[in-house]
Amino acid sequence: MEHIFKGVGKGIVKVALFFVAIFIIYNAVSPLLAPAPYREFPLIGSRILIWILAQLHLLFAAFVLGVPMFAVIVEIVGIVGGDKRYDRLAHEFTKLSTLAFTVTAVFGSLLLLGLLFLYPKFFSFMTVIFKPTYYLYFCLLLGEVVYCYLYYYSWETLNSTKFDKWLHVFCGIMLNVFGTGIMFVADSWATFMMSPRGTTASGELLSLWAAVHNLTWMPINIHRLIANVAFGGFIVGAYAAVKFLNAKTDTERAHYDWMGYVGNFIGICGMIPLPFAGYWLAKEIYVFNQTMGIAMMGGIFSWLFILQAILIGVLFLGGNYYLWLAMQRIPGGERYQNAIKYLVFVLVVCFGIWLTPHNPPMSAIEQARMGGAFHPLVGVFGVMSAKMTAVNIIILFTFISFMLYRSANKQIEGSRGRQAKWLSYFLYTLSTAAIIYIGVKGYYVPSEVRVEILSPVQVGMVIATMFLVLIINLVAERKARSLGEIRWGHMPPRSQYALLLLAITITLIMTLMGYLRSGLRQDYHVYGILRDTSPGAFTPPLGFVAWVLATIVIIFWSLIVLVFWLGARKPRDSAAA
Amino acid sequence: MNNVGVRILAFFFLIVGSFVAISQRVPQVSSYPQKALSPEEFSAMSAEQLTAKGKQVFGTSGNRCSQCHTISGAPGRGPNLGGIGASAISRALERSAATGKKITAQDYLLESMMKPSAYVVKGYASPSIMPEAYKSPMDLSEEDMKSLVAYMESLGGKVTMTAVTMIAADWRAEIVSAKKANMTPLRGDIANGKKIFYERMRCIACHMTTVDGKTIGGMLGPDLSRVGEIRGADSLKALISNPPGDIMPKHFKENLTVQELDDLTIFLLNLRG
Repeated sequence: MEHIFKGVGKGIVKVALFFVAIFIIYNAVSPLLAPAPYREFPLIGSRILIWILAQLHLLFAAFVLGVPMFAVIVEIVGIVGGDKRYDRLAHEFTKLSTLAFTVTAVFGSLLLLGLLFLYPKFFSFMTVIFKPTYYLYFCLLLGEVVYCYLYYYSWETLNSTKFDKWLHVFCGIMLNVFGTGIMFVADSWATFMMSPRGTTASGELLSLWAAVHNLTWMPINIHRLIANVAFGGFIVGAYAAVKFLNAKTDTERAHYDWMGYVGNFIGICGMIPLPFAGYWLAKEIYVFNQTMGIAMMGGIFSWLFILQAILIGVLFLGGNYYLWLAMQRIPGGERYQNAIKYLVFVLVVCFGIWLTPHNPPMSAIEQARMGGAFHPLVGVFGVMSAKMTAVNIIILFTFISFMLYRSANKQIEGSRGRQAKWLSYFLYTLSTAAIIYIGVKGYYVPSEVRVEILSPVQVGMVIATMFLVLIINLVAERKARSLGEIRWGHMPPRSQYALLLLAITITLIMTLMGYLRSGLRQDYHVYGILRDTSPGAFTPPLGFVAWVLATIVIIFWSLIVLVFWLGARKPRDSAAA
Repeated sequence: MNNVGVRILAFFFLIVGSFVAISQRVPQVSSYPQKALSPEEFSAMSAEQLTAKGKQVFGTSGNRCSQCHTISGAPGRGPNLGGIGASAISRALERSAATGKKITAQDYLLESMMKPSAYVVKGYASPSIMPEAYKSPMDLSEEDMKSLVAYMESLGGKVTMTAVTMIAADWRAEIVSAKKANMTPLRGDIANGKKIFYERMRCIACHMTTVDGKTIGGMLGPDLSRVGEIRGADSLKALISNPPGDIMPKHFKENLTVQELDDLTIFLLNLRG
């Protein structure tokens, strides 16, 4: 037990040291500075510095929130299924998340100092409104630190009985509860800046709860929560891919192949509901302020959504490609190889529709070249009705890929098998036809009917179909005959590059959407209330944005590699074991 | 680093590099806040300079006004403003006939920015979705709007607007008041505002609001569940004091003190669903 207290104590001391360091630096430096609303950071400027620090902090925060979610899910699967591999996998990644926790705290501290020194006017404004939440944040952070280290250091101790194991899972759940609480508090600050409420027009606080519970708060909370699960899964996938490619033995390859599959599975599970959560967020942005909504989807930021569509398309195609390759190592998987070309066709067509711009901002020359503001042929696919239809079909067909994968080595004998198969095919066909029909209907109804009724019906149909097909197959497969065990490790190297592609792409998407959320405020710190009059108050062109985002992604992955390397070198739990 | 490490690194840079390369190929649009000019600097601007400033305020490629309006090609969310300098003259005549006041092309263009619903071009939804340009979030200054009028006039018409042209006193007062509202905090008691709304003035009899997730109230007047998102303090105060149409009683102004009007306004500003 001693090592547990020691470990938890170490974590608390570490966090306390960060706060003490911030306090000392702030009090030592601030008397030397002349009062000013803004201060410029040398070379790269304050705006770029804060941008990089905030985004890196967010990425690492997503890592330390996403990986524990992944770890707890995997640990529970291990307890229920009795497979020890899951337990080892969860343990391995919890170790990495404790290391990443320190990096997150470093970037959080730098961000805080950056805001205090470089944007004092803005920081004071936010403090007047949100001061009580700072205390809440601190308490939640303390809880997270305690449970993070408790979860990790008690792994071996709470391992002897089933009760111990569930007690350990409880610690993991509490870690996630505190982590999610922190995220909710921090989201209230970020979303208030975007869609403020609870204050007068000039920013005098009327209701703290209204300021916290602003229109975009809950959509962002849910969106980030799901995205963190996907992010955690894909990072595990990337880790496994690197280990697989460097593996010397078949046993190692088999282990990391399995790990990569689990990571990808959880990543895709997280990714499936993400577009729906994103849709809700975008809808709330329109409800909050139509001008902001138009700037986002049809104005200065509209080309950013083309980049986002490319990245999300890569994510879905990459995830599917991995599953198709993975079917090759399953006896019986060859039965479905023929179906892949149809899946590719549908996914690529839907991807194309999703990519089609509607009326992007164009010069007169560009419009003349294209034959008008809308393309005469494909312009019809540029509207939301077509895009929502496409994304729903992409999600449904990704689910089909997954179902083919999971039933690849199962042979259901007799009429039960035939019924399950045809019922599933019938549901897929019915759902796809209904989604397309509703999509076409969407062209002929007012936009509020499409947004409030038709799009949610499409989403509901996809979810219902996935649920029903899964139940049908689970019931039918109870007496299924196995065609052989999965040949773990028998994967071509390109499958591992697909896993790397997913992890890099989701990082790019997160940085891109982070920029969008902040950029939408344009020259406001708090939209419509507190204007940004600093030299960095401008919306840069996307080419420049991409360079900054690439820099962030490179720094992030360099540090993640460092964390993985330290994790591999330092057997932190040796004393505990 | 072994061969696998090099390959992984190359793959990483290929993905990130491709993203950067594609991002350079999409239209590069940037937006800068307008440079603040002193009154003396602005007054000294020539007609050409004023028009150039107006063009800058209008923006290009989906920025500011160009987010919804085009100058050439097909119309966007708002009308195509190509040739607006000429059409403003005929529309000003229409407006003069409709209001019984003499409205010039310059007045019409200013009115379109300040009261976008006063005249809605055929085929577009009324009331207009365009926000009042002098209020947040567009928050254009009098100088910005004058330069925009000069730019609009230059599109097929003759530029009559100058930097020293005096715009109508009531519009000027509205702009000043909107800017003041942004600067001066509105102080009030939200709880008292709530009491006035529900009990004293019984606004709830005609207007719907959302309380604890439930929408309640009458349907005679507009739904106010999210009025705080679409109206500013000044607009709300003006509507309470001088309600449009014949349905809403006109006695609110007489029955509310200045402070009570602020209280009620603050309560309404916080109705955001």
